[in-house]
Amino acid sequence: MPILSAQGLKKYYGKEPNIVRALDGVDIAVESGEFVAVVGMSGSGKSTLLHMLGGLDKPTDGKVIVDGYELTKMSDEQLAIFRRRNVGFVFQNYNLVPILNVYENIVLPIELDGNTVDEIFINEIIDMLGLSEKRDNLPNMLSGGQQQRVAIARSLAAKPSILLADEPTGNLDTKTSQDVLGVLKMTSTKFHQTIVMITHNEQITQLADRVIHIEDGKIVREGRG
Amino acid sequence: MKNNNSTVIRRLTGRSLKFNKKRNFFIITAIALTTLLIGSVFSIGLSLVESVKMNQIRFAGTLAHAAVGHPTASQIEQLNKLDYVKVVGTGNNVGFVKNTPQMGKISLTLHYFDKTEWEKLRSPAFVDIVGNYPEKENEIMVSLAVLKQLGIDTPYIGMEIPLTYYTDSENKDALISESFRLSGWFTSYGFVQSMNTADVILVSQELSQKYGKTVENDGSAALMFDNESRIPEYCSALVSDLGLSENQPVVAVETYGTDNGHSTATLIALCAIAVFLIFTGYLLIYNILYISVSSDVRFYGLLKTLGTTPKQIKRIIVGQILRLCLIGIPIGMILALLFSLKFVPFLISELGAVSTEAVVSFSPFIYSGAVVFPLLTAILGALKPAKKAAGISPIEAQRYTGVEVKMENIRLSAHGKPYKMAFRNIFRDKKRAGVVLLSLFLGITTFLTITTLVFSMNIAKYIESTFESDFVLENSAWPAQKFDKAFIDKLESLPGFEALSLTTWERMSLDYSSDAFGKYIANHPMRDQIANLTEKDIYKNFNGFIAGVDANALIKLNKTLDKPIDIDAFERGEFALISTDNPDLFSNVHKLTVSPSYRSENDNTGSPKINIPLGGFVPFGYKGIGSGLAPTVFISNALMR
Repeated sequence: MPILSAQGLKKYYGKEPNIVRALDGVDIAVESGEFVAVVGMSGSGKSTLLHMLGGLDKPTDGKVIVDGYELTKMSDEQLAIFRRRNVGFVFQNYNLVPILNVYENIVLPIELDGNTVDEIFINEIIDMLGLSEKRDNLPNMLSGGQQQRVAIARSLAAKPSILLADEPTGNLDTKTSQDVLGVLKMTSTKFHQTIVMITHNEQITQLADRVIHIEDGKIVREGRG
Repeated sequence: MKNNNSTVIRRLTGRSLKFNKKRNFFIITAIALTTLLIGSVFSIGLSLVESVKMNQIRFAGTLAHAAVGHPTASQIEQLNKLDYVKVVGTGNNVGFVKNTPQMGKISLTLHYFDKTEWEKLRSPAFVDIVGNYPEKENEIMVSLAVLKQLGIDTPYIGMEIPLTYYTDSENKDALISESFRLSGWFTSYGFVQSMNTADVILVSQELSQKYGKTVENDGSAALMFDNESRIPEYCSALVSDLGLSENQPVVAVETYGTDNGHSTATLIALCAIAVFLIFTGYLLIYNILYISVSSDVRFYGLLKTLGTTPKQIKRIIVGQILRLCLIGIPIGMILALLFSLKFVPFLISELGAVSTEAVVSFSPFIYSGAVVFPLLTAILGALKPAKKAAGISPIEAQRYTGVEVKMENIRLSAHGKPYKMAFRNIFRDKKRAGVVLLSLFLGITTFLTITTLVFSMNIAKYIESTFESDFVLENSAWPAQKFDKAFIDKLESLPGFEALSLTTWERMSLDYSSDAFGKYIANHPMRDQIANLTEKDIYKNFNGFIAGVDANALIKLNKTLDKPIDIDAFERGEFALISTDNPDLFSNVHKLTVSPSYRSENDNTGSPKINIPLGGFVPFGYKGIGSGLAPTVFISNALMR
C-alpha cells in the first residue's frame, strides 16, 4: 500500500474563460521509502502538486491520502497538526520565520506540537549541516545556502516520515547543492523517509528512484531515474 | 488537543512585538487616545449627571424625600419598621435667636438634628464641612453664610460666639444670653435661595433636652424612601400607615428647578459625541491594524505552513494586542483621570448645568467602559488577519497582498497620466480606500469639534452670556437716595459707557390668602423653618421685596423665557411679575395686593395698597434680589415711582 497517493487531483484558478488549470486530473502513488523526482517546465503545476500532497492547498477536485488519512476531509486545525508531525517541507524560498533565530526555526514544528526537543538529535543535524556557528543568528544574517540548510534541518527535526522538497537546490551553487543532496540522501536512508522532490537538476533525477514528468497539469511520463 | 506549547507561542508573541516597533507605537497611541477620549466623555457625562443631582440635593439642603411634622415616639418607631422607608432622621427646633443690629433682618433658629438626620441626610448636602456636629451643651455648628452674618470671617474651632435667644415662641421676652463654642462649620446652599433671610444654627442634643424640646412638639421626622420615583404615593401611604392627624403634615421635598432641561439636552449631546468617538476610535485602531494585515496574513500563512494551528495563531495575535493594551490603556486612563480632575469641573460649570460646585464622578462605569471598549476594538481589529489567514490555504496566505485585482474596462493610453495612475492606485482596493477616507473624515471632524469647543470657551463670551452687566452699583446709603438724576447723567457720560439699567426695590408686604399662596408656602424654600407657623403667622409676616426694573432690561431675559413678557404693557404698569422658578405654584394667583412698607413707615396715612394683576414670571433670584416669606414682585420703574 502506498504511503502517499492522489486520485483525480484537480486545481483550477480563476473563472471561465480565463481559467487556469494548474492540475488537471493527476493520479500518483508513492511507496514508503521511495525517492521520487518531479520535473516539468515552469508553470506546469509541479509546485501545486507538492502543496496538495502536503495538505498546504485545497484541491478543486479529487483526493489526497497520506498514511491512511484523507487530507481533503481534514479541518485546518487537523491539517496543521498533521503537517508538523508527519511532513517535512523544504521550499525554494526557504520560508524561514524571520523573527526567530536558526535554532528556534529548526525546533519550531516540535515546539508547536508541544513536545520536548530531542537536543542530541537536533545538535547532530545542526552539526551535519554545518550550522553550529550560526545557531543564534537571525535568518537575514545568513546566505542563501545557509538558509536552505536551516530549512532542511527544520524539515528533519520532527523526524517526519515524508519529506516534500520544492527545488531545494534551486538557489544554491554546485558545491552547496551537492552537500545538500548528500545530506538529504543520508537522512532519508537513516530515517527511512519518503521523499518527493521537484527539481531541474539532472544529477538529482539520476539519484531518484522514479521520475515523474508533468506538463500542463498532467502527468505525461513516468520512469526510472 | 491540549499540549504544552505555550513557550513557543509566548516566544512568537514577544518576538512579533519586538520586530514591529513602529506598528506597536501607533497601535499604543491609538489605544491610548481612544481610552482618553472615551474616558473623558464618560467622565463628563457621569460627572454632569452627578453634579446636577448633587446640585438639587444641595439646594434642597437634605437628601430626605419627605418630612412628617410632629411625629410621636411610637410613630417614629413605626416609621423605622416600614419597608419603603430607608432612613428616618429626626430633628427639632430649640430656640429663636434675637437679632443684634449687625445681623439685620435674618431670622435664625437654633435647631437640633439627631445622628441619623445629620449623618445620612444633612451632611451629604453640605460642602466643606469642618469640625464635628455639636455634642456638648454649649457647642454650635454654623454655616459660613451665617457666620458672615454674625460678623465672623475667619472662624476657628472652639471660638466663642455669644447669642441671645428665646425658646418659647409664646414668650418672646424670656431671653437667654449664652456664649457658645464653635464646634464646626460648613457651606450650605440650602438657604442661599432664601437670600440670607432665614437660616439655622445647629445645636447639641443636650441643649435640646435642657429646654425639654421634643420631636413630637417642636420637630419633624425626615424620611428617605427606597424609590425616588414613588414619593407622592409613599407620602399618601404614610398618612394611613401611621394614622397621622391633622396637625401632622407630610411634606414632600421638592427638588428646586435647577434642572431646566439644560442638562438633559447636554447629556443627549454627550451621548451622541460618545457614540461618535467610539466609532472614530474603532476606525482609528482598525485602520492601523488593517494596514498591517497584508504582511501579517503572509506571516501567519508562513506559520500555518509550518504547522501552527489557527487556534495557536489566534493566541499569538490576542497575546500581542493584550500586551499593547496593557501599555496603551493605562496611559490613556491616566490622561483621562488628569483630564477629569483638571477640566471636568470647569466644563460642567461652563455648560451651565449646575450652580453649586461641580462633582467629578469616579464611577467605575467610566473606567470599565474606557477599558473594555478599546480592548474589544483592538482585539476585533487584530483578529482580522487571523481570520483571513485561517480562511484561505497556507499557500494562498503566503501570497496574500490584500488586493483582488479586477481591472476591467481600463484603457491604457500610450502616454499614461501619472495622476490617473495614482487615482487608480488609491481605489484599487475600494474597501480600504473607503475605510481610510472615512477615518480621515472622522478624524478631521473630531479635531474641528474639539478645537471649536476649546476656542468657544472664551471668557468674554462666557461673562456676557452669564452676567447682565459689567458693573453693578448699589446704594449703601439707603434709605437716602444717592442715585439722583445728576449722578446717572454723570455715569452715562463716562467714556466707554454703553447702557445702563436701573433697578429699584423696596420692602413690601403682600396680602395673603391660603387659596392663592397655599401651594407656594407648602413648597417654600424655607419650609423647614416655617413649618411651625400658623396661617395667622404667615398672614402677618407675608413680607418680601418689590422691585422696579427698566422694561428694556427684560428684552434679553425674554429670549430665554418660555412665555415671553409683553414688554410694552409691562412698561405701562399694566401688570406685575413674580420671581420664581416654579410658576405652577402660583396658578391660583391672579391679582397681587402690595403694601410697600417704606412708605407706610414714613407716611402717617397708613399703607396705601396697590392692586395689580399678575402678568408673568421671571427666574428666581433675578437681579440678585432674594425673597422673604413672600415672593419677590417685579414691576416697571415707571410704576415704582
